Amino acid sequence: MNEAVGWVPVALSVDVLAGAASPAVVDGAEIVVWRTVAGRVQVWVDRCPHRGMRFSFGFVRGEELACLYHGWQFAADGGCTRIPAHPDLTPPATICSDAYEAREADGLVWFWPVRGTSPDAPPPSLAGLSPVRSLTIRAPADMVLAALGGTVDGPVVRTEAGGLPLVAAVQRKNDCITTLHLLAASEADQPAVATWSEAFRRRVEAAASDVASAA
Amino acid sequence: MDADVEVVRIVLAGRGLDEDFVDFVLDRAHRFSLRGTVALEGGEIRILAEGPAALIDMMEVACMLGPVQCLVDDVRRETWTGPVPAGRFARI
Repeated sequence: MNEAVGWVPVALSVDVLAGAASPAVVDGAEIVVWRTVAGRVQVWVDRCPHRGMRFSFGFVRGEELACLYHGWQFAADGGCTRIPAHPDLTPPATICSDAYEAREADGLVWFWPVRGTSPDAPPPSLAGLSPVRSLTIRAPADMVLAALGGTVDGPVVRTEAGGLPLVAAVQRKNDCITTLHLLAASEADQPAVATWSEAFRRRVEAAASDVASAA
Repeated sequence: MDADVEVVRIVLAGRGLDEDFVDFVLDRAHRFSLRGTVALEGGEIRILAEGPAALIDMMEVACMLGPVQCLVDDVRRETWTGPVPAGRFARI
């Protein structure tokens, strides 16, 4: 998925509600981000192993995610626990979702994009910041980063938004679309940063459109 | 043997049934933890499968579709009383 393996931000914690599942895309790969009722966040490949239905269409029941198509239920560890059409069947352990390691830290949901390997460090520390919004921009990541300026540390950019401190966690959806998970220095800065982000997006998308037209 | 466990022979006939289909069967069989074998012979897919009846049914239903370039016209299924190779479901 990523050329250099590292934690990838996929959502602001406040946007992943308990009992909900949502789709996300990272480097063209489709994932589902969901949270159990007790609050544990999970990131899986967005395909049920049964017939390929997207898990993100499914529904959370307690600590499990059920596929919308035939109701197969999967526990937070990815194992299938129940197949409604065959209630007496104990699903074998080989029927399981493809789960990524997910972490929640400092207001962001991160995942490790290589299954079967262990992260060598925790996600970047972004303590003390206030979540603003996730901003999806129709422009390549390198163009977005160039427009942001500031200092880049892996997936995290520290810069300014109209003179206010801004931290952006960068999620590359594909070659043409980039999502920034924006955090401000304080709650008081949130409205101004949100307003700034709209103008930023318009500016960057206009530039991307100009580049595409010239090509 | 668990009373719910079946041993069956399934033969799929159709158009374009190829090695991709064999890979498809292997994937499903491993996913469902079935024992047995799959072979491509004379354009037909021949499966020998042992496992819970419900999971064999699921594999059969999946095989009725198969990979997109394959078209299954006929499925023959019969109880198998012969031996089933030990170990992981395999291509022969």
